[in-house]
Amino acid sequence: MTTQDTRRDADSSRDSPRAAVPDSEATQVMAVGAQDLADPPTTALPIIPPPPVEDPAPPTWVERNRPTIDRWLSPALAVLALAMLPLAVATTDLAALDGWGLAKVLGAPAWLALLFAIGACLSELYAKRPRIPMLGAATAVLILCSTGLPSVIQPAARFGTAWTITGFVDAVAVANGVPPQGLDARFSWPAFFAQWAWFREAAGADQLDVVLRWFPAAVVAVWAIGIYALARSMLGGSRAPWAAAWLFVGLNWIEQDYFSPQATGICLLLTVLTFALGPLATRRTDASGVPGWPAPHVGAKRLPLWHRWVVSAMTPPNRPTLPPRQLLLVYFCAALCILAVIPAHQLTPFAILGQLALLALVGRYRGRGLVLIGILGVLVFILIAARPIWTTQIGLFIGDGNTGAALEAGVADRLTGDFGQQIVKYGRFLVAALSYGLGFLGAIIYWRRRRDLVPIGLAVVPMGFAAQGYGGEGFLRILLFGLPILTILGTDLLRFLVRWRGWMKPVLAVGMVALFAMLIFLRGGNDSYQVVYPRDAEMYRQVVATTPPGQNVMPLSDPGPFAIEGLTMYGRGGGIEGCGRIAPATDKIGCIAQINPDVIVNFGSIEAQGVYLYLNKPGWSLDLANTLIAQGTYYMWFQDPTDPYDFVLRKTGAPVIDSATQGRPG
Amino acid sequence: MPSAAELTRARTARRGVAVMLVVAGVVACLLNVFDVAGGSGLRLALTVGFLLLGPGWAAAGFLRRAPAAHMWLLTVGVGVATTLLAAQVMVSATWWHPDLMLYIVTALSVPFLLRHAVVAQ
Repeated sequence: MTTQDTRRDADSSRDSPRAAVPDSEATQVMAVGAQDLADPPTTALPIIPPPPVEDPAPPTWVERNRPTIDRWLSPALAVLALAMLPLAVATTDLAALDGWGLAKVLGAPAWLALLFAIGACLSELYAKRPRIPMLGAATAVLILCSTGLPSVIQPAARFGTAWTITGFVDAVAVANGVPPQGLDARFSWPAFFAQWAWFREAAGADQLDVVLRWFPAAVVAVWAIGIYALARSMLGGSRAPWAAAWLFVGLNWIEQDYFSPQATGICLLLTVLTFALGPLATRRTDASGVPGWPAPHVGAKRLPLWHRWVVSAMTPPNRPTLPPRQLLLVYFCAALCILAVIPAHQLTPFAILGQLALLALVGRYRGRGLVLIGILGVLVFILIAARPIWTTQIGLFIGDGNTGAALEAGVADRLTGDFGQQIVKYGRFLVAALSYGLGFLGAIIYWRRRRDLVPIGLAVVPMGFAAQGYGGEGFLRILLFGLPILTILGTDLLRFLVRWRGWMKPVLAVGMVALFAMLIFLRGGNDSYQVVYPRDAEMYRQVVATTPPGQNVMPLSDPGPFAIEGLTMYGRGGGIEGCGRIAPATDKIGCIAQINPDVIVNFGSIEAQGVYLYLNKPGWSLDLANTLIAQGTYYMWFQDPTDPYDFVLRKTGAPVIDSATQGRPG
Repeated sequence: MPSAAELTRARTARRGVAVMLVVAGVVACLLNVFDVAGGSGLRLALTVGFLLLGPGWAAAGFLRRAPAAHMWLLTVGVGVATTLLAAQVMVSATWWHPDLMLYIVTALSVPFLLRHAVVAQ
């Protein structure tokens, strides 16, 4: 029925008795009807036949079983990955380690474990409704099968520096909480050593070997939680934060997660940053986008840039939506974290304060007082608690400003070793460049999406350490402090790619496999001389138990569990130009003659370092020992029957005490 | 917006964590008082676990409507920070009493943990 049907047509008007009635309405209608004696023919729209109904394609096996797959595939893969780990231990030949590192000697089950772990993560991520607990469990398995793989496969903690730090903990514990003075600058920031000395004493333990072994995996898990929480605030979504956490784990070849103050410091940094950019985050504009400063008159000349900056800086940020008590709780906890890191590590407080200061300057969080608290804390610690540092070692803070020397020590001097070692090190530079590339490209995407360049500024702030001239590890720290933000920005880029081109999903899945394989290759690249066996630690403890205090005990180089006990009881010789380490020295016999140690300790890892990093000929350490023995100046006090390079030389005539009568120092 | 069932599960989990930490703290103190040998590292694991998580959960338990990641991050952060500062206080004050400090931290944390075990946010 159309609107025309409601009108009386000409015929009906003629037949109707009302047609003669001249009322106004009828007149109008009749007038129309009189002009057009008949309605124009209705033009019917052509009927378009519907397209032939095709039978819907039968659902594929995957579509039919999607709920079951979503529910069970990820847990099954995670369990498979864990089941592969004992097989990985059994099939990895650590004795075959060379300059190519761990990746070369890993058995197939280790690689399968990694593959299954990645599969567990991705299958849950691509599920229709990803489950947060399952994603968390899959991430834990992924960390265990990648960063934690050396902890699983090797019988003791790798990395000589971790063992050195446990020696620092021991020194604080046996001295009843008094850090040794003048021995190492790191004792000027003793909180971390005292913390673990306290734990050790309170638990009635006399060593922390197990803690050392599992520390990297545990601390990277905490970092991953931090990245996930930070990415939730910065990126939003339910999948991207997990991808950010995985990207961070995959790009973290830096190996600053060993038992160390900086590893703990990063936990605190991430805590503060997460709450500053999460619950405390705000802007200088209100929710409706109105600027906090009165708008200029229409047509008024625009203020100069510096004036706008001043106005912006003076406009207080809006209050976050948290209730006041919650706000106070978060302030309190963040202040606690900032204050705690000050006596624990020399660089991390400056990284936190630099990043917070930038955020405060641009008004991105409520609580600028945190920066003030941090600055006051640093000043109080330096001026009062650590007076010896600034009176004698002020250079540790201000540096020598020699960025060129720092660059040489941090970059150029590390490109040594055999072909495998050089490939590993160039690979590390490549991945570092990839991290910055992803971060800066991600910053462009972030800018297009949110008109915000502050996050990339957070990654740039730590670059100030390059000017400080911290030393060889300074560049590792710069990358470490910037990596959380770089990975989150990189994830924004990856998300953009996936949304832009759907086929990028499988490409990125393959990329994830490649990234984690690269991670194992790069992190384990030095394992030929970083691997430690329990017998090495036992041998050194025997040396401590049988050597009278005051003697000089010296290793032939850095690797291995040296100085894990008795740090303050023995000298190490040293102070002779060109003889800092014996392994790379050109005149090894001459160096030993000048240093004149009472005890020389060697581990298999030192032999390997000499071969693969310093290019000595295989067997150089044993040849050196034999030469010293032939000279009659030293004798072989101990040689491990399973590893001839684990040996202890003692100076002829130097006193040795019976280990049964020697109690534990302290 | 999480469903009521999810919220209930989250509250139950928070209660469970608080109860476990109370037990860990008390057992760590008892093992310390009676100087029970470390054995297979159980005492070390209990003591370190409680000291790193107990004070943190006591503080983080007050956080409302926070995702689990924020809760755990704050727990670890505050736990690490508290123990670092406590250790530094012992060093700076030349008052080295690891046992006593364990008892103090436990005594300060357990009431809040018990509160969180009863009233989960």
